[in-house]
Amino acid sequence: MPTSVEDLLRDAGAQWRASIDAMPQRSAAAPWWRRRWVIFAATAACLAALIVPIYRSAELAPIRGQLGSGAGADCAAPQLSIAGVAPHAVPTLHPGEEITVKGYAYVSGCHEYQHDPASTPITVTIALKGRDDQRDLKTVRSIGSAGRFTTKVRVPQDFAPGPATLHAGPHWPHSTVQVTIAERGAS
Amino acid sequence: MAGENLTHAEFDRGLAACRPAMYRFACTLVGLDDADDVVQEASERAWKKWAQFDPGRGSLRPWLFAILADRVRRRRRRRTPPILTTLPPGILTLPDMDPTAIDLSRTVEQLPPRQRSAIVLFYYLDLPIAEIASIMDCAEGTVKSSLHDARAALARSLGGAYADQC
Repeated sequence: MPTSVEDLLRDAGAQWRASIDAMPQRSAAAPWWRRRWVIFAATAACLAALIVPIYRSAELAPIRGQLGSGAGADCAAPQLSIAGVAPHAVPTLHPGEEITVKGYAYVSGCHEYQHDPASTPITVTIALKGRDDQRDLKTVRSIGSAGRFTTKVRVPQDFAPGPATLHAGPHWPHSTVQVTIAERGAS
Repeated sequence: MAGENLTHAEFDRGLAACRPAMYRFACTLVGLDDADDVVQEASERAWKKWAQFDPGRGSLRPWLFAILADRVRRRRRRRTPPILTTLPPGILTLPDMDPTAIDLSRTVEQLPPRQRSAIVLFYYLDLPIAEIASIMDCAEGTVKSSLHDARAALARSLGGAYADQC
């Protein structure tokens, strides 16, 4: 029989600890399927499995077909806005993404008779225009008076974020260029 | 790096050794029903923060208790009063205890928060004075005086022969 408050407290504390320790406790670690990170990881994996194929098909699949063309005006090189022609078909361009552009340029109308391909060959500049940024990505030469070209351009890593469109502009005033994005995707 | 003094295996063993004490501590904070979950959350948190544990600044148990108390605070969305100012109802009066111990535990529950905290941590959780001072964020002398005052108050409440010990 405890004879002091001190003894009473020690006895009560020991009994309390024994009662607590005798209670059924969960094992040292929860079953793996009850751990939060397992549930979180499984949910994330399911979502990724659903979303990634949709995203890839929408973002990375080649865009084929004629997207548009621009015709030259007097003393002004026309610029072809692919997004302007088919805005719903041109997804967001990503920094670092490599794009293969195929095109056909020719001197149009009566001016073709005046055109001397030896002295003034058609050149086409592929440019990227954003809201706050504009870059000439590449200039394609050696097209002559008419010809097809295929070139690869890369969206600059430091290009200002936001909506942007790809432009192809022939330098020769009375020329026309038709371009197609043949292939795109981060490389 | 702070955690370099303790290997992975040593930390694992230390955590396993502290789990019963963590469970008891969790019982006094959240009651029997939620203690398991709180201990589990605190253990996972401890594993994530393992590298931050510095044995030079104290033993593992107070560090784990601090994590456990933090998890309790987060569970209650930071609206909880300071640690042990309230006890889950009936947590000190478990059915397996004998009537005398249950009567004493009920009296302990009536003590002012500071004295009750000291009694629970020292006699029920069986922690050393230094760790109690760390948990209660006060000096060891304050813990000792709180224990002394609490014992005197309990003696007065119990009456009879115990009252003479005041």
